[in-house]
Amino acid sequence: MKKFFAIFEVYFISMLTSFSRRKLLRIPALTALLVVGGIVFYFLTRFAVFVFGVNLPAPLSTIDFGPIILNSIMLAMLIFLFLGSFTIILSTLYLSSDIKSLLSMPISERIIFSAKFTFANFEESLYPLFLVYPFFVGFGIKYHLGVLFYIASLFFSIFLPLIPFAIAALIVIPLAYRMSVKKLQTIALVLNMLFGVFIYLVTQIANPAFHIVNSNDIPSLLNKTQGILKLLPTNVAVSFSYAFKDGYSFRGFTEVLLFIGIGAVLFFIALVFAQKNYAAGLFRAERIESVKFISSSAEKQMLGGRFLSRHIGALISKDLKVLLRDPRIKTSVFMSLGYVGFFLFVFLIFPMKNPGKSSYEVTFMPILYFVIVDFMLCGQNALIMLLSDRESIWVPFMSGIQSNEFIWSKFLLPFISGEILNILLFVISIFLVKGSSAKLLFVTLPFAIFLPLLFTASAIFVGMMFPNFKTPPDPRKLVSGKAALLNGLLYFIYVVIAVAMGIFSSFLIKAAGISSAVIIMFFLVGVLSVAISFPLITVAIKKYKEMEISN
Amino acid sequence: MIETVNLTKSFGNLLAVSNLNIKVNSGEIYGFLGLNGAGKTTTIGMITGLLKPTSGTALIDGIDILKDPVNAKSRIGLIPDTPNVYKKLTGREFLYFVADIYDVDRKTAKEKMNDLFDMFSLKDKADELIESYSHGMRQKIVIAGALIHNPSILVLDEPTVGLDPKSAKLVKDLLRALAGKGKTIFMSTHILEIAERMCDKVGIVDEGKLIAEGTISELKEKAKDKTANLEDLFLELTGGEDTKDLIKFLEE
Repeated sequence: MKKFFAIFEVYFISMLTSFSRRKLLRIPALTALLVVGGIVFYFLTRFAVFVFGVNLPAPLSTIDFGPIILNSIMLAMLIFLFLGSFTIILSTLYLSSDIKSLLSMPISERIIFSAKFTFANFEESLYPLFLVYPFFVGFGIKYHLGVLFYIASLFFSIFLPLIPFAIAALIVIPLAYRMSVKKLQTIALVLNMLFGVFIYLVTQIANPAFHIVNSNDIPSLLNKTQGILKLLPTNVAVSFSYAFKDGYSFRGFTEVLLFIGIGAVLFFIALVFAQKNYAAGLFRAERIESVKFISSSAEKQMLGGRFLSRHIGALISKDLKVLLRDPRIKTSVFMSLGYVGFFLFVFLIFPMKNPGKSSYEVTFMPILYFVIVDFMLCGQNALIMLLSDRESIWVPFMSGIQSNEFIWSKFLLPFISGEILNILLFVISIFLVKGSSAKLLFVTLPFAIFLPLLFTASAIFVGMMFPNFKTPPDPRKLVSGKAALLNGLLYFIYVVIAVAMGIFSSFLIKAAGISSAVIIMFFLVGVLSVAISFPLITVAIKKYKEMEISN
Repeated sequence: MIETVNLTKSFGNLLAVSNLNIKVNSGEIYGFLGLNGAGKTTTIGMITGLLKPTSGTALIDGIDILKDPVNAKSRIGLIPDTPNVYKKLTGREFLYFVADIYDVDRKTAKEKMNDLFDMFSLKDKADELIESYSHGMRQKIVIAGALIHNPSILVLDEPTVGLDPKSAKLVKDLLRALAGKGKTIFMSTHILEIAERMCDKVGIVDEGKLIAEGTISELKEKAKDKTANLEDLFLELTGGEDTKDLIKFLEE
């Protein structure tokens, strides 16, 4: 047990240091995080109290929504944890950088596995603690339940990841023996994404715009759903909560203990299984990764000397190869493309099938769409591309290429792909809207043209402000936390600006007419984007020039 | 030619390199020796432009690395201590990439590449991803990358680490041959036998300061024991005598 706790302690300290390298800043950073978590917790609790007490109009008034809400939340969290656990187990148990050194120490595989597994559980239990537990608290407040309920539901929330993690481990360990671990990770991420799409589509079943379900049939549909949900393991949350509500505290507490007990048994089975197969699979997985053969076509693939300068061409060509061969980067790019497709339905195809007549209804959604999609395609991917050189950055840095060539080589690919996609989407939206409202869409064209410039430039600026070209200790973290945070912050600022611009454009159309509005928006969005983007790129070039590289 | 002028680097309160003045002429092999953490890699970083000096500068063929870094860097071939290269490129792709960013024309690059693959016995592995290479093979591909643009200066940080005896011998012969062709070679090494046999001039650095410099025979002249080899001299200068005593104690 001493070794187990020693490993656990190292991970815990690493988690704390990830908030801030400086010891003095660690406590304020942690406190800030807890405060944010507390605020989220409070609002979710208030929301839960409201939801459990809401009286819906007929015909929905006959349905008890309490069990459906609890069961749905549990189910969504359990699926989220289950799918997420694949990615986490693969990265912590197979791709983590400390695996080799741990295996070389006199520590049994069982202890390594259990320490890593327990810590991953501990980390993941924060999600149900902040996202699921408030619903129990809300339930408790609504029905004036005693302390025992809060304790039981707290245990239930904290131990919720145990079952999905144990099942995921039992699936992953034998699979990792046969398949590339990185490939498995890609599959897990794609499944996560598909789950997101599935949840969205499910929520659209009752949307009257799609005529899937008649509004009169909704009560019977919900009753059927309730019947199905009762059969699921997540129904234990409903069962123990209602036991407490009905005064059967002992029964409720026993159910929680049973749930945790099942998780513990599954964990134990996974542990026994891991003892025999974990290390063997680990070494085999490593071998599968390294035996790859790429056919010789290096000369043909180079872009240099055609329409770009040779240096920029060589850098882009290299980035493309790295991008297409690194499963982590590839997954991120494919995921953002997947989201682009997903949001195409959410923001364009569904709303545009039957848009309103007002300019606001026609133009607002495409503007929001361009902001979200360009952030994913240009903002996120430019950041990943910029830092994809990682520890090999010394190769271009040592060469005769200029700093502006390096930065522009990172800029071009996300920028051009954003431009192509936006123009394509603009044409699609024109096609979808048709008629006289279609010309209103031209007010969104400045966004389509200039947002890729703004987002790519911002991401490159952010990347160069926090240049992290070292191999990340955790393969999941391609981009440093600070860079990701700043990039996200900028994104929210741009969303707010874009929303304001969208509303403004609507007023402008009414006040000045469509032609003048388009010209003014072109001027506004264009001038703003160029005025922000080029200084950002100039700073990034300067930062690259001043950069220092050490091992 | 490499010349450092009062080259200094500090990291916060730590003075990693202090007022370093060395000159390596064309056709010379300069061995840069020192204990771990003595400042060898930091010096190499500053000479090659990877690190910015706190004060002083380095001249590469007379070009100031701080004033004209791109021109200065294009004359250097660097072989770092850890062969960190793009693992998702094949050996051939990596060399083409290096050739492109160093403006080597395609025909020359192709000819040179084939020679280098032959020389380092990498022909069969040329079209496999670098991630499948062993440490030694990665080291070889880095050396090939450093040579493909025919630099006038080669800077090597522990060049033979990870190489098999045959490849290590090849690198040593290659460096001698390149020095014979007038190239400037600056290398840091822990292997004193290599320094003793190969280097025209040796500099010993300790705690960021150059504490001895000269040819092997010049350094031996300075030693207390005139029959001492480079290892004895190195230990004498860097305080390694304590280590010798410790080893003797442990043997007893």
